[in-house]
Amino acid sequence: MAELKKPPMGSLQMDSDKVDQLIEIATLSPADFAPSTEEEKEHFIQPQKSIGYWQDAWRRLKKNRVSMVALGILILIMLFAFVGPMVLPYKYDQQIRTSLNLAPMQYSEAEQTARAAGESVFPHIFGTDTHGRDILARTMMGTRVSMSIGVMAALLVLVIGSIYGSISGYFGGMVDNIMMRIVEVIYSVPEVLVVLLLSISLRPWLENFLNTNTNSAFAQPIRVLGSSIIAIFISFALLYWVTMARIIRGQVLQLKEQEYVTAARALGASSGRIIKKHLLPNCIGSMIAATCLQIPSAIFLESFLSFLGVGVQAPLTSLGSMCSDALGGMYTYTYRLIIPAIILGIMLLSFNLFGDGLRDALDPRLKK
Amino acid sequence: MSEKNGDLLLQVEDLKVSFFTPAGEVKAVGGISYQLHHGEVMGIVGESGSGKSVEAYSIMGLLQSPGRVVGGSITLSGEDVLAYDKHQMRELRGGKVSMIFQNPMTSLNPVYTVGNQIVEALTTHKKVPREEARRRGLEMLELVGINNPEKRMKQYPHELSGGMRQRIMIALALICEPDLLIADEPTTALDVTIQAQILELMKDIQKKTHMAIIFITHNLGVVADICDRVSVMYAGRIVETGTVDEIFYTPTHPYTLGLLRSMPRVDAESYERLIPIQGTPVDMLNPPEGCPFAPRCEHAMKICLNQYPPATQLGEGHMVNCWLMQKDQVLEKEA
Amino acid sequence: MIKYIIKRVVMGLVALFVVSILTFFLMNLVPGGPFMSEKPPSPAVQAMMEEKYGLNKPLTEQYVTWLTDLLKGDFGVSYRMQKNRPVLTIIKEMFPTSAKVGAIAMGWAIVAGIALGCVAAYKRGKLTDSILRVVTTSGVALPTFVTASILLVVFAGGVWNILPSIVGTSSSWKAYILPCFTLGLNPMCNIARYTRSAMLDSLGQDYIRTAYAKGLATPFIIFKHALRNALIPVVSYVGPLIAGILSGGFVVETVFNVPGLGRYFVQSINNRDYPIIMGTTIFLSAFVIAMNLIVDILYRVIDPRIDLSKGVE
Repeated sequence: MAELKKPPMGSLQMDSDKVDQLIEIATLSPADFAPSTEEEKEHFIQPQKSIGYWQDAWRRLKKNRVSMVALGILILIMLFAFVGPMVLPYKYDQQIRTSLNLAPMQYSEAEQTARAAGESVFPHIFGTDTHGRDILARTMMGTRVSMSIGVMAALLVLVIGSIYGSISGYFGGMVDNIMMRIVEVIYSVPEVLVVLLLSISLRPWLENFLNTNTNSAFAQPIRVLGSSIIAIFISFALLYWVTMARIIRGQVLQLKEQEYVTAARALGASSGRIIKKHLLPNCIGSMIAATCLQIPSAIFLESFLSFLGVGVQAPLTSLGSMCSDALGGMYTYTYRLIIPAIILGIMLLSFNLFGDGLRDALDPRLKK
Repeated sequence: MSEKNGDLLLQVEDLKVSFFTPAGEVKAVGGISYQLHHGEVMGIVGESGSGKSVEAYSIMGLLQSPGRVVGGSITLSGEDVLAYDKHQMRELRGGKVSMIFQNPMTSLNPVYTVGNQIVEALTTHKKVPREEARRRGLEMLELVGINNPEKRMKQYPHELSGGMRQRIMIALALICEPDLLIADEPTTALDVTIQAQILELMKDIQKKTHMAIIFITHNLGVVADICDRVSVMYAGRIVETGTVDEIFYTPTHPYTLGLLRSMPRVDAESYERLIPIQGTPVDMLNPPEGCPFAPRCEHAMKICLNQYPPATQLGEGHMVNCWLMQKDQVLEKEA
Repeated sequence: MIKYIIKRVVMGLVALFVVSILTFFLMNLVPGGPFMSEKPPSPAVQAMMEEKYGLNKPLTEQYVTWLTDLLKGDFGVSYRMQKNRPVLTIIKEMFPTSAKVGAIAMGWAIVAGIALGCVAAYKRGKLTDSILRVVTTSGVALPTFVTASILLVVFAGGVWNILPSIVGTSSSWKAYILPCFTLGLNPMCNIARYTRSAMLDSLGQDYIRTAYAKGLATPFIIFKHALRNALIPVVSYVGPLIAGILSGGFVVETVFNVPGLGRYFVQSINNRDYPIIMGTTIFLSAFVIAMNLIVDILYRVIDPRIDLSKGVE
C-alpha cells in the first residue's frame, strides 16, 4: 500500500476495516448527530466501584491463600488450647500414680482392668510423662500459656511503642531527637542477655516479695503468673517496644507531611482532631500488622527462656519448658520432645505467615 | 545514515497492548498505526495514562508483566520485531533502538561510575577493546556537551546534577549509533532552563546523526520545537496526526484543540485565558464502545457515545478520528 | 564519616554503660547480692568479699568500684563452677570455640542466604519462589532448640547415627557439622528473605529498566546491576543477626554439648554463679555492640552514595 501513495513524511494509512466503517456512514441518520445531553455523558462512563479500606483489605487477605490457611490453623490451635482442656477428662497437673511413662494410646494396668470391667476409659492420646501426667492435657495447657504470653506481650509492646512513637513523631524537633537517641541506645543493647538477667534476678526477688508481703494486692497476680512470665513482660516493656515505636514514628512523620493534614490544619482543625481523624486511621493498618508479627517473637522468646530453664516453672507449663523437660530422655521418649516442638513450630509459622499476609493486605503500599 | 533518509524505518500496525491485572484486562493501547521514516522526528502527545509510554515500551520489548502485546505488528527495517527471540531482542535494545527515560535521577545505577555504565552500553553490542570503548565514551560525553569528561567518567551518578545525568543518558543511548531513539518524556523531570538545553542538544544531535526520534511528551510546546510530525493520543488511540504546522494551525479533533487552548502561547492576546479540558480520562478497565473523549467533549453527539469514529484524511498526512468530520456529510445527504 | 563513626562509638559505649548498670543492679536484687552464694559464706570469705567490693558501702559506690575493676580487666572470680578462678580467664578459655562455631555458621548463612534470596527473587511468583518462601519462613519461625533437637534425633542417634553430636576439643570436623548447620539455619533464612525483598525492590528500579534498554542479558542485569544494590540494605541486617547467633549459640551449644562460652553461661545460670553471669554478660554485650558497630560502618563504606569525605546524610 505504501508504494501506491507514499506521502513524503509518512502518514496513517487507511486500513481495510476503517474503509468498511466509512461505508457504514451511509446508514447513519442526522439523529445520530444531534448533540448528546449531559445525562447521556454521565451514563457513558461506568463509575468505578469504590470500596472501603477494610473491605479492600479483607478482599486482599482472602486472596492470599497461604495466609488464609495460616489463619485456619491458628483458629484450630486456639480451639485446641482454650476449648480442649474443658473437654479432656485429665488435668494438666493431675498426677496419675498408676499411669507413669505410658506410650501414646497405651493403657495402664489399672485402666486395662477398668476397661475389662466394661468402663470406658479415655485414652492417653499422647501418653503420659514420668509423673503420670497426661501429655495431651499438658500440651494443651502449654499451648494456652505460650499463646497468652505472646498476645499479652504484643499488646504491651503496641501500647508502649505507639504512645512513644506517636509522641516522638508528632512533636518532632528536639523531642524527637532525644527520644530517638534513647531508642537507638536500647536498640543496640543485646536484649537476649538482659532478658536472661531479668529472669534470673527477678525470680528470687519476687519470691522474697511474696514471702514478706503475702497479702499485698500484687501478690495474687504474681503468684498466678509466676516470676518468669512477669520477667518476660518486663523485658518486653523495657526493650522490645523500640521496633514498634520506630514504625509508628515513621508513619506519623510521613503522614504529618501529607497535604491533607496540612489542609486540615489550614482549615483550623485542632491537634486532637488531626490525630483522631487523619493520623490514627492511617496508622492503624500497620499497627495491627506489626502487633500480629510481634506475637510470634514473644512466643519465641518465652520458649527460648523456658528451654534454658529460666522460663515458665512447674507446675505451670509451656511448650518451651515441655521441650526442655523432654530433652533428658529424648532418645527413649522422642515423641515427648517432638509433639510440643511441632505444635510450637506450626503455631509460630502460622502467626508469621498470617502476619505477613495481614501486613500486605493492610498496607498495600508495602506490596510489590 | 543520511542516504537512507526518507526510507521507511518503523511501521506499527494496529498495535494493541493490554495489562492483565487481577481486576481485569486494561486495554492500555487499543490499536494504533503509524509509520516512521529514517531521519524523521515524530512526537507522541497525550496526557498520563493515554498509553503513549506503553506503546514505546512495546517497540523495545520492555513491557513488564502483566503487560502484553495482544494484537497488531511492529516492523523495524522490514523485520517483525514481535517475532524476535530473546537474543535478537537484546541486539535491538540499545543497538538499533535506544531509549531515554523521564527521570534521569533514578535511571542510572547509583553504585557504578558513569564511565562504567557508558562503556558497558558499547561493549554489550560491539566487540571493542576496553581502551577503545573508553575513548568512544569520552567522545560521546563531549558530544552531549559535558565538560571535563575525563573526570565525569570516574564520578558516581549522585555526584551529578539532573541535567548532567540526562546528558549522560543521551550519551548512553547514542553510543551504539542507533537508527531510532525513543525519548520518553526526557525533559519532564527537569527545570525549565535545563529542559531547553536538553531539547537544544537533542535537536543538535539529530541534525548531526540524522537518526529518527520518537519523542513522547505531554507538552505540546516541546513538540513544536523539535518534531516534524505529531500524533495526539487519547485513551490508547491516536486521535489526530499531522505535521507540526497542521496540528498547531489547523487542529481538528476537539481534544487537540483542548490541548492547544490549555497551553500558554507567546502570540496570545493578553486577555485570552487558558482553558482547561474539563473532566478526567476514562477508566481503561472498562473502555466504552464509542469515542472515549465524548464525555469531556463539548461537541459530543449521540453517535459519539455508541461508535468509535472512523479516520478521516484531511491532508496528505493529516488524519483525524472524529464524528464531527462526518456530520456535515450526513446532514447534507439527508437534506 | 568520621563524625558518624564517633557518633556510633559513643552510642555503643552508652549502650554498654546501660547494660553494665542493668547487670549490676539486677544482680543486686538477688538476696544476698551477686557476690555471695545463697548459703552464708564463712566469715573469712565474707570479710574478704566485703573488703573487695565494699559490700557495706552504698550501692552506687559499689557499682563504681565494680565498673572500675571491670575496666581494669578484673571480672571477679567464679565461686561455684570453677572455684576462685578469674572469670576473664574462663571467658578467654571458652570463647574461641564459640567464636569458631559462630563464624562458620554466619559464613554459610550469608553465602547460602544471598544465593537463595536471589533465586527466589528471580523466580518470583513461580513454584520455586513459593517453596523457598515456606522453607525460609519456617527457618525464621522455628526456634533454634526445635531444629536442634529434631536434627539431633534424626542424625545423631534417633534415626541415623551418622554425625557425632558432641564437639570435643580434639574431635574431628564432622562434629562441627550439626551445630554449625543448626546455628546458621535461622540467620540463613533471614538473609534469604531480606535478599529477596531487596532484590525485588532493586529489580523494580529505573536503572534496571535502563540496563534492559541497553540490551544487557538478564543474568548480567541480575548479578551486576540488581544484586550490588540489593546487598547494601542486606548488610545492614547482618548486625542484628549476630545478636541472634549469640542467643542461638546458647541453645545449640547446650543441645550439642559444645564446650563453648554459651553452654558455660547457661550452666552458670543454672548454678547461680553470679560473677560468671555478670562477667559473661558484659563481655558478650561488648562483643555484640562492637560487631554491630563494624557492620554499620561497613554498610556506609560500601554505599558510594554516602560521601566519605563529607558529613553524614
